[in-house]
Amino acid sequence: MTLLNVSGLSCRFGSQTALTDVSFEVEKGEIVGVIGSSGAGKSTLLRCLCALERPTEGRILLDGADLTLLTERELVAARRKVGLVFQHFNLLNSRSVAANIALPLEIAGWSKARIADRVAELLTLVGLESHGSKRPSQLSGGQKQRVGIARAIANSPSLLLCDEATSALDPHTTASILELLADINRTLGLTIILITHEMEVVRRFAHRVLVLDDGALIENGSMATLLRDSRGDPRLERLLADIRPTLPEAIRRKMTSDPQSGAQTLVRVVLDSKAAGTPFLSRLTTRFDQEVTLVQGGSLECGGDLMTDMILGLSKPLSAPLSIFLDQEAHVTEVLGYVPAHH
Amino acid sequence: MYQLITRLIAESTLQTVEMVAASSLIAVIFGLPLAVLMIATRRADLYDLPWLGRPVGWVVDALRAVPFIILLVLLIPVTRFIAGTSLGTLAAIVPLSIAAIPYYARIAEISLQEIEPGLIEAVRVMGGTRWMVIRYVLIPEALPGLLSGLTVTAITLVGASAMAGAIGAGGLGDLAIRYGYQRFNTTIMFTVVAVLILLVGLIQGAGTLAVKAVRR
Repeated sequence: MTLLNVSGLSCRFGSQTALTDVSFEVEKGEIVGVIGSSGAGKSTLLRCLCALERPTEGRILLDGADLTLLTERELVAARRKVGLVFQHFNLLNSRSVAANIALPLEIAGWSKARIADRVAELLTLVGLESHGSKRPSQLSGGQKQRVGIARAIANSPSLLLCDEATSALDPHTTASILELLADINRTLGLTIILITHEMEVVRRFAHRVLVLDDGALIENGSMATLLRDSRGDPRLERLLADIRPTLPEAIRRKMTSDPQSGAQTLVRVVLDSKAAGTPFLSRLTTRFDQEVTLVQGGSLECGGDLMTDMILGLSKPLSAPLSIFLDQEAHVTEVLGYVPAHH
Repeated sequence: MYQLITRLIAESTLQTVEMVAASSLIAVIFGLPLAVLMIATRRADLYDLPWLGRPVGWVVDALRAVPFIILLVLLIPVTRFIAGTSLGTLAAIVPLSIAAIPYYARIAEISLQEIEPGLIEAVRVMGGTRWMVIRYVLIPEALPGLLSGLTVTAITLVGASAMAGAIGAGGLGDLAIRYGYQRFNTTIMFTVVAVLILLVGLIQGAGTLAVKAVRR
């Protein structure tokens, strides 16, 4: 079932164009990553999705209602269907942790008793049972973001937007926050859109990745599709650089594009979830009489699937049968160059 | 003699406290909404009606530009209309309040200005109305600053109330001027100054405690 349908979305501020003709759909229960470097239009898209900004053109259908057509009064109600997790938490320090989580419920006019029950439930969900009476300033960054998440989902929104929700956190805390989000997605079936500039954040959990570049949507597909399509596209290569195996500088310096005799062939091979479980390297050795060196890379969790992204050193140049084998078995094959033998 | 001095000082202290307390209270009642109005109409993420808030700012600044002693005289007709008389402690509360309202409005405005836009956005995204933003974000988040601003205003009013002696309002400042300065009674003058220092210290101490209590 489609939860969100964005079509032909454009947003201009004066002469500046922030978004150009962006269209995509999000299914109920999906985790979608929106990635792009700064200035790509991520924040504008986010502000349009939570009805803080009215697009210049296009439609945003959330649960059947067109956000671009609503009046200010109707927007107030529509916004309650969307939860937003902020990069800098934006918690009120004048309120306790529990009262922060209660705020959207107070705004929605819940009774005191119902709020108390719901807040207790949410505190348990995000693992902060004993911190309800503390002030946000007494919490660590990761704990603050847990409060932010509890607050965002308090009123059972149909869509959870995360705006660089882990960018202010260290890697370990980032992992635990992402784990919590994935958990919420699994147990509550909540649809989540992760907006970030870090590929690492979307890699593991996003079922689908949308890439924004200079206001335009340039990619919409699974992580696997992205890894395949990125070849030769510098805009995608740049974003993927964080999670992709790269050649050590020492090897890169020696590498040539000339397949001279006795040189090692460097090949980047990406295996999809099916092939990633097979003894791929052994098959290269036994069937094609290759000596294989793993130069860089290995298994990679992508959108819940296991993939392999690696750079291999082969003792012999690519023969025709080996090329055919790689085309069939591997998701991506790319000859990077040749390294002369040590002599 | 000492009995008289004690009685005079006790009476005057009470008058000063009355004037300062009443006009501080009125300053908050009218000044805080003015500050909220100036902030909320200026911000694009709230009402975005700068043409409404700016003239309010002009009036606020105009009132602050008038020296208090002049304001005291200028306001005599207004005072007579509101308090029924232009003389005495009660009458002095009118010009004191009218001086304190714009003063506190600007001070409160500074604290309200410091609020992170992200907090306002958070409540807007939750489906909060602009009124809820004021009630749940602006006022409570600025409360420590609003309280220290009130402390500063009250202490300024202690000084200003001395001039209210000109319209027969009494109070410690008036006592020091009439008995201490004009009649060369140094005992009264120094005692009054000591009492004033104590009073200001008490106000500042109470303010600091209150700020600490809400900040936590």
